[in-house]
Amino acid sequence: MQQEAPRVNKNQEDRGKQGIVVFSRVAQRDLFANGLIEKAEGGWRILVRNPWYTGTYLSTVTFIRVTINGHSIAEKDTYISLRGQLIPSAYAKNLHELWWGMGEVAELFLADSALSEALAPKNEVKVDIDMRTAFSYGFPNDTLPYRLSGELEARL
Amino acid sequence: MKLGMSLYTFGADFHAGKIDIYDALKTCAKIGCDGVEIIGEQHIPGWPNPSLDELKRIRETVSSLGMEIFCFSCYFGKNIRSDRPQTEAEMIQNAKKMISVASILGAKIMRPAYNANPVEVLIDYVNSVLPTLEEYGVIWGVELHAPHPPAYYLKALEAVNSPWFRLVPDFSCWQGPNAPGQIQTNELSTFEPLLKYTVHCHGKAHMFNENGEEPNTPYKELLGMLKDYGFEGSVVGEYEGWLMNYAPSEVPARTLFSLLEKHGR
Repeated sequence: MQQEAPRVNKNQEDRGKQGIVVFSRVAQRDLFANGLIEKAEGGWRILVRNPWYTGTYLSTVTFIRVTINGHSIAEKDTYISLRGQLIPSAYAKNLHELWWGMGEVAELFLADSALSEALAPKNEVKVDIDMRTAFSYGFPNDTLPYRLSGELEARL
Repeated sequence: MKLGMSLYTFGADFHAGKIDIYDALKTCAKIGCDGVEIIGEQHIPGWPNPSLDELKRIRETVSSLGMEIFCFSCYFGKNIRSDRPQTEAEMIQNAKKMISVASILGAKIMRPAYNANPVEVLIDYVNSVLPTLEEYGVIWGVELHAPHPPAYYLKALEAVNSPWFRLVPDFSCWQGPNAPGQIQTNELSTFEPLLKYTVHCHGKAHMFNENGEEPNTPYKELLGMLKDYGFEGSVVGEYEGWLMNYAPSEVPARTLFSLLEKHGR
């Protein structure tokens, strides 16, 4: 996440690499909405802001993986909730009718019974989100691979 | 020429959930803007299906603050669905919807972000909605922006040859080689043949020096060319440094608007 952007672009491929670094900066800055992993019914939740620089269709989210203290949450146990609609993360890419607003907070719900044992008072959390762009920005496969992280406090 | 601010400049605070469109509009009025540019996907509540009441409220708020909406911006995405690209009919339907949104907002210019290659794809797309643009009195302002060079846009403008299809140059086109996102630096002379098509400009800025100048962008020369031409359209500041670093949005907005006034009044 801390890699330096190319200073000068020589072509569209370089521009794409630079774009990934630049867009990831604002995503990293704002991703975690309250800095907490909170106990919820049937699992845990993390509040995250839309990382993209505008609002976007939820269908552009093609992959989500949450890793906490080295423990990766399985895709089947990972859900995203927008305005109260809880959706298995694997289905997000099908939902072009749902809008994720700029800076809007979504809930990542983690239904992993083993997660409790992996948690500590403070936790290293990695959130990988692959987000397809609606038209080309020069990213490989027109997808921006967000690789974001932070330290979150667990709250029972 | 009229001077103002794109609400894109306020991205740091929109992205962090700290402000809404009405806060940003008040700040623009406070710093002396003649008008604003609004981006649907960033600023309009209820997007992509905003209520008529919300659009009217935005229009009336801008008017009550003594400003106008120079330009309504939006994104014409083709890869919205995961299973297939948008069909031609869906793209046209969306364009018509955006034209109507621009009209309700009272914006005379609509700037769709749309990356078409080859340029004939853009030409065909614009031609398909020309009657709607004319019916609603909205100009499709194609943004001159990387990765395409000025010649790409000249070809499209000459091919469509309509007052309802005009140009929105982004000053990044003439930024120096060290500007973020720059692929090639274009000579200032490439702006001259574009002036007659220009209806609105984006004063792109990524950073400012101690004198409040944008070190990579020739504002004095570009605004000078517009003044010499007798340009009667609008120029808005478009600060993009917020993607890299946070600062309260009003700070770069004030600096950038001062830069526009310094060279553009």
